[in-house]
Amino acid sequence: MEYIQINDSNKDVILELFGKSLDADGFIIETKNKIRLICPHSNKYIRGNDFSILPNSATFVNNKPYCFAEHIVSHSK
Amino acid sequence: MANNNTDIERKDSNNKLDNTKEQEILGIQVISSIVSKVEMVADPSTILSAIKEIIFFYRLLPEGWKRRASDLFLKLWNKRKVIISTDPEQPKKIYEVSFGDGKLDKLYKSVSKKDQAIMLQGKSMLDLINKGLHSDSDEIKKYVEERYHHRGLNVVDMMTTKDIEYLIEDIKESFTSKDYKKLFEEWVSKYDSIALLVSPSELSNINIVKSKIKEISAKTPKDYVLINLSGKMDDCAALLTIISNLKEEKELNYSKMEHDISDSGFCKSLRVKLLFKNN
Repeated sequence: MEYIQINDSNKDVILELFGKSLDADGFIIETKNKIRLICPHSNKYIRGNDFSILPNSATFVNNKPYCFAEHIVSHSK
Repeated sequence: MANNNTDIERKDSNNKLDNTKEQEILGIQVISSIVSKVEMVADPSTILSAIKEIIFFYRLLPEGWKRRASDLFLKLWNKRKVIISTDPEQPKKIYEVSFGDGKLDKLYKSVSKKDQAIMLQGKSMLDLINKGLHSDSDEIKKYVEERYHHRGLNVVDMMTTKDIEYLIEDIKESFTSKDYKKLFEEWVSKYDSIALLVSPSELSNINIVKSKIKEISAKTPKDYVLINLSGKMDDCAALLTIISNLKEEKELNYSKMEHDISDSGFCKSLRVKLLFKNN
């Protein structure tokens, strides 16, 4: 697996490429309907300063070890 | 003088426009060159560099090319070789985990998805401990406890102490996947009746440590108990003395004590097995 660091200089472009943006409170939203994203493994909103985008359907998750682990096992055969 | 300044400003402005145009053209060229390669690209590092180039040039591209770049980006992304993160070290700790042991791999495949996730985190904790990153490992353990409670702690403790090796010893050649799962369940539900994790801070109260060892020895479903400690060499020696004294003072009648001290990051790891029958 390869990794890309999200920082202030590329964050807007990365979010735009996935059709996402930030709301006034700093949470990630779907640009088209302004709905806040929910991390499928923690059921919490995702903050724009602490998140990862994981392979398989571009899953946005909070940076928590269990989110990564549960994502891996939920997408393994 | 005023005319001279205006000329300079006009030149600067023209230069900026030229630079922007040049970057825009360069961006288009980069995107075009990726287009021709994208279908064949499979190597993760090539995918990574193509994605990075798209991200870098995207803002400079004219609208029509932005759409093309976006389509290209998604094609590359769908090859599932890249993770994008505000803190890449975080996913890396879990994604790079591999068991590398045939029986452990089979055990991992046999258990539930939830237990698989806990096992991944346990292995990741062990990798961090081996690198001396005990506090990073403790951070994962904190989340494991919050999320999976007692069961989660038993699984990760079994992995970080390497006591899972004793579970592996119980696996027979004839075992099916169902048997693996059953054995795992037995161990997870009874692990804290078989094994004791002693913290260095507990060593200041010898009676508490003694009583914990006697308590677990009375309830173990096996003919042995496992005692673990991670700390300084002095801590390991102190615990070994406590265990020896238990026998000498006839407080605990174990038949044999096996122990092993190894490096665990910047600490020492003591593993003790107390046997209660002549094996």
